[in-house]
Amino acid sequence: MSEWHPIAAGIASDTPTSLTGALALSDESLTPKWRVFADDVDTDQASWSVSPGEWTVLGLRPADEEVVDLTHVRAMFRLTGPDASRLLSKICALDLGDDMFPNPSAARTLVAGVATEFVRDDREGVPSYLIVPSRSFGQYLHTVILDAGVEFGL
Amino acid sequence: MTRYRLDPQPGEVIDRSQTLDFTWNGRRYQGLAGDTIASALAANGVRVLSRSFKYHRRRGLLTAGYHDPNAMVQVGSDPNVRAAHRRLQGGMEVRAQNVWPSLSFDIKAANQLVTRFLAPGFYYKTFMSPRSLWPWYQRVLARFAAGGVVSADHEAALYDHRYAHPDVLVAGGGPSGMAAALAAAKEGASVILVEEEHDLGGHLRWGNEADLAVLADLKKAIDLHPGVEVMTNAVVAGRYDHNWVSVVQRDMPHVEERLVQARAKTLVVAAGTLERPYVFAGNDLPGVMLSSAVRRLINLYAVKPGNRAVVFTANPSGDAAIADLRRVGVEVAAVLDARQGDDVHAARGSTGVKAVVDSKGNRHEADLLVTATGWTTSTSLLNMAGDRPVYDSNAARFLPASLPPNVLSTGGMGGDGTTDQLIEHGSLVGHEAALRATRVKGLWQGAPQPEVEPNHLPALGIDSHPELFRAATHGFVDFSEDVTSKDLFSAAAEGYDSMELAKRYTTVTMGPVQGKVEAVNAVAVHGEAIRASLLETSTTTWRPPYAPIRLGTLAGRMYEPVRYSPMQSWHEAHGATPLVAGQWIRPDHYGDPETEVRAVRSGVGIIDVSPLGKIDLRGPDVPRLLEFVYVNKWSKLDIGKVRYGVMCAEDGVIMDDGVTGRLGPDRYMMSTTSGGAGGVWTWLDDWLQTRFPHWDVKITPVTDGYASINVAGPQSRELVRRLTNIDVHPTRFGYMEVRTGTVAGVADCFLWRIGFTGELSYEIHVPAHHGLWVWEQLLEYGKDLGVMAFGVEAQRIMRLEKGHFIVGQDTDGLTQGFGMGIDWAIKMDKPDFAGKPELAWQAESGDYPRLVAIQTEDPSSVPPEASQIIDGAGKSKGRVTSSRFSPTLERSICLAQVDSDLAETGQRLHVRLPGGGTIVAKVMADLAHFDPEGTRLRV
Repeated sequence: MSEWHPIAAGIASDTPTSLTGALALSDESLTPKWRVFADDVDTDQASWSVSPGEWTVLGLRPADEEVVDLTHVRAMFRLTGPDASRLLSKICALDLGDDMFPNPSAARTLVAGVATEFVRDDREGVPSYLIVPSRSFGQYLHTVILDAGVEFGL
Repeated sequence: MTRYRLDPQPGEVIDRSQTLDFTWNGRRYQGLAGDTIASALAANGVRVLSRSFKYHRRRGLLTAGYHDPNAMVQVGSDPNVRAAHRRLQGGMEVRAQNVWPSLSFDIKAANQLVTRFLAPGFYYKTFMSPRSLWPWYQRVLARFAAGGVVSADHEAALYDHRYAHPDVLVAGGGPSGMAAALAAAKEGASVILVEEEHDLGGHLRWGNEADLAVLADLKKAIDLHPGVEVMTNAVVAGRYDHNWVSVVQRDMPHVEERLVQARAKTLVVAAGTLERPYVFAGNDLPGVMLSSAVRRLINLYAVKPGNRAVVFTANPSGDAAIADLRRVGVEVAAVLDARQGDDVHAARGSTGVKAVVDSKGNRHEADLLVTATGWTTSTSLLNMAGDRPVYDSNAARFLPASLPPNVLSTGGMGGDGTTDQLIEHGSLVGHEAALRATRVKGLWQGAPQPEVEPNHLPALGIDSHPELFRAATHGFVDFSEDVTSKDLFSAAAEGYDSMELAKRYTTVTMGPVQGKVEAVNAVAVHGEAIRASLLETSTTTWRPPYAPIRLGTLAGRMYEPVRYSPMQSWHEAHGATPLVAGQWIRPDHYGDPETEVRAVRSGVGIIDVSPLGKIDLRGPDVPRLLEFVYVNKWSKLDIGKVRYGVMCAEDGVIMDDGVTGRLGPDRYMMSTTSGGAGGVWTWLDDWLQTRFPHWDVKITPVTDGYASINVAGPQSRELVRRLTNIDVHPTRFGYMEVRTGTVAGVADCFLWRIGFTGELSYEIHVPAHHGLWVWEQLLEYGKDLGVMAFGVEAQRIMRLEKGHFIVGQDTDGLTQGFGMGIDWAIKMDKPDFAGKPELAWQAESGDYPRLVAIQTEDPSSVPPEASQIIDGAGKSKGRVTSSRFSPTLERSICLAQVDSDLAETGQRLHVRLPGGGTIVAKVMADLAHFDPEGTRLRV
């Protein structure tokens, strides 16, 4: 089968990462993601749990015996910047205040009507959120986030 | 320079360097940036802004604020604009509403001549009979309705919503509200401060230099504090349970209006007071204004409100207005001081005030009558929080009574004081609000909170104020609805002795300003009419919204999620007609579905079936789960095999179907219908969490993880063979089997051999990000086989030819398992499965609809789906559930649900068409119209 060199397509890969002073939205859908079934995980990799006995782990395949590859199941967007929570407040009802949703936190919630795993994962002290919906909603959510971001120069 | 514009004033908000052109009823005028529409008109000497609702009387500025009942105008295609609030913009086309042919000459003003016939209830009494004329009455009366004109081509505008979770939300940005916000923020609370006007400051904005200095300090402190988010030109529209507070922000940079849905831990109501008009003869003439209106015009907009004034004052606001008028050169012809026993008798004039007659009979020539007769507390939010404010006759206004612990009030709502006292009180309340918010937050976070009594807050003092509502003459109580004090007396005389009833009878307080300006006068006059004190008189109820909200704002953005397969870009590029299937957007066809069918039947076609639900199941107890949720048997499914299964709910109704394959010892992949994926996941999890928590099953929905492509047709094996490392020889990859392997270089694919279309077919499931690649490779490598992409419509035709039902189309919310052609699959000898008891009862009764294939006598006649099947008496005996013209058989084919007595093979059926007419069809022996033996898919 060596004649084939498959090309992977991200959800919004034709839209370049949007970078502004205050906000950055990047499509990280191709990042490997794994479902691990355990009460706890022992890893240095980014990981979170929003339901009992289920963890989502990013990066290398975890050593656990039973893992499901979620790389293709989920899209993943990262929204970073001081205005990130203000933008999100237009499309997500969660209280993202530092006392209610500190770094790091994870939740399963609705973003613009889409059920998604939602993670706060700050970058060098700057608020940063991962939105991890089912892949097929990716294009829609990407458009919605850009629309919500117009007033922030996104 | 416009005639009535004054020299610069210390607190003015206008920018004299920016002149703005606008039109008023087609005539060109100039205003300044910072003007409201009303102040710009006033600066040009325009006194008449509107005609009244019922009598079409000329009306001018009254309160010069958002709630001015006389200042509703049409701006472009935007009706009912509050002219005393909306900022002037260059190029605005402003018109008077509800006038014909013009504001200065309005024919409907003839209504005034028949005032005595337009008494309360006039319309109810007059247009009751004959009933047959109601539609005509309605058409004629609609012409007399007030309000602006909504244009059909109103420019599209954007609206949106935002959620907020402040610790403290302060409604009202006057001195007390500002101080409360600041004090709460200093305690570490996150604060939203909402102000209806365009700037913070409340009455300090039109105050003296000392007021302006205090205001500047407060504003600076708020600007510098990161904990306070200020929303100006915004209004708290409602307060609901648990301090769910709606805030409408107007004229945002990117949206017309925004609805902020705030969950405030504590709410501080600092909405202050609104000055109320006085009821006397001629009180609606242009030139009769409230003291606060005069002070706004002079101090904010540098507009001279008149040339010669009479001031009727009962309080310091009136006294300050006198000082302001004198300072800017308005002659004060007379001061009538209510505290000295003076009173107004009437204002005289036709197009505006010409003279004022006092209670002693003295006539004063004047073009301006300023009244300062008292304040109405803006208690709406308190009422919405469950408070029943109580009338205080010493203060001549309502004061808060008892508030829930998460609502506090400060400022003029609760008492009077110097600016310093108001700020001090606001600070105490803000501090307490922050403390209470901390406690609420603790409760929300689940931390046990000690029971504590909320701190008692000192009350502001109360200044004594004369009770002034109506002079000895009658005048207008409700300017919006043209209700006079005489009307309220008439209503009382007719027996409407409850305020709630009198309100509905006279429509007092039911106009656009919703009682904010006139409610207390209405209650007082009503009380006078029924000889009850204000304390004894019932009041009306304040309900949200406090101020009008556009429908667009309530709707906000339409968030209707849509789902796309990884091959969507290809479908779009190749002219697919989109089909909306739930949230999925799918290719219905690429031009001609019948050609697509023929291509599949004769060669090979590929269809994007990515929306098919896929659920990854792992663990030793998966067979037990399958055995329980499906009606058929699952205990002996070998690795590499797939099986078709049907699920029923507890009521025996078919909820989903699909195939499940065994990929490894403890690893299964379940497929569901496209629309059923979410529901089935929940269904499985429900059973595992409630009845079978001890089973070791791990469920992961992976629908979106795989792009799914069905390769169908006699040439499908050859096409798949060219791209995969899996041995597809029929003896080694048989019908209803599953294999894993590589397709077009993509690893971790799984393929199963099934046949929804009735053809030999392979369903290839590819890791989604490689879906488009594999799709294109299939088309590339199948060129010589004549491969063609086909859409959902072609698939539906083929599955109908094959007699496969679709859950939700050929079944409905009442369709139980038996009778649908799957009786063979329902294994009643299993110990238990979901729906079994109901299915047992169904089988016992025997009387249930049957799914049958039917064909019309006339092969070209295709009855629309949902056509009824009727008996000789015209009674419904079933319906056509699926119907198409089959390009393969070149005739019409259908599936139908029919009553059991009509289900025999060969039975003639009468099908009633929706458009009328009946056609004849007959029941077929088999559900499959085409290849009932299934030879094509077993090759």
